Amino acid sequence: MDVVSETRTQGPWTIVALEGELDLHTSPEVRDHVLGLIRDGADRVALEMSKVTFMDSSTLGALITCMKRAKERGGTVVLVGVEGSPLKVLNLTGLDRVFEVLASTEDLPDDR
Amino acid sequence: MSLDADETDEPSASIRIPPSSAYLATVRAFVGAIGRHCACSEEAVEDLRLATTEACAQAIEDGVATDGIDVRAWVLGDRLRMEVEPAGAIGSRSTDRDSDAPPDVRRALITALDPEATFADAGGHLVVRLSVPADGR
Repeated sequence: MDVVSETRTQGPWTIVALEGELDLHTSPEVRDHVLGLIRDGADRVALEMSKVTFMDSSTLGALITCMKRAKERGGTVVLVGVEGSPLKVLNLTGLDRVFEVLASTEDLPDDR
Repeated sequence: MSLDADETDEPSASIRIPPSSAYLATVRAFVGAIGRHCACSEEAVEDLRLATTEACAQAIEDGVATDGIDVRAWVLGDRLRMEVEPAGAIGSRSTDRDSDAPPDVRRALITALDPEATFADAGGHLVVRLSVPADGR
């Protein structure tokens, strides 16, 4: 099953909706998709994760790779709607302080 | 089905997966079913699913599980114990490695989830042992 379910734009943001379980097997799909978007010019990427039910440290690595690439190009990657076990992983690893975590896509700032 | 055992018994339940990340979801389904059968709390089940996934992913990345990865379960008193052990000869670096996981994060995460987790070297194989409260505790 694909874990990238939808990609859409909202103002300056490219929103990537994810779903299902993210691990060593599935997180490369997310990384490659987001890196492709950044390569194609997306500088603000929001990962909508309210339907992600599981996330491991492989995924954290993939997210960090995406964030680094976005920063190199003056952009950013934010996480939206992280709940449950995935939020616990972010908290335990301290990455909740690295990534901006928003409750909803409505919270994405629309200024450039 | 009774899973009660003592530490010298054969595992109450076990599964061997091929050393491929494609089977990590199978391990999570196995661990989740065992945890719920043992009346572990949902939080404990989620912690166990995550810790077991990390241990299996480490074995896959290390390329030390040429014959597969064994995941075994025992119920010991009021604890559910899980063990993850790579099987087979020490192989070459796995080709099923497409991970950005920073070094040592897996072990740190396992320890954060289960401070009593142990990591033992068994002939070059890293054996990870985990446990969570059973019977809803």
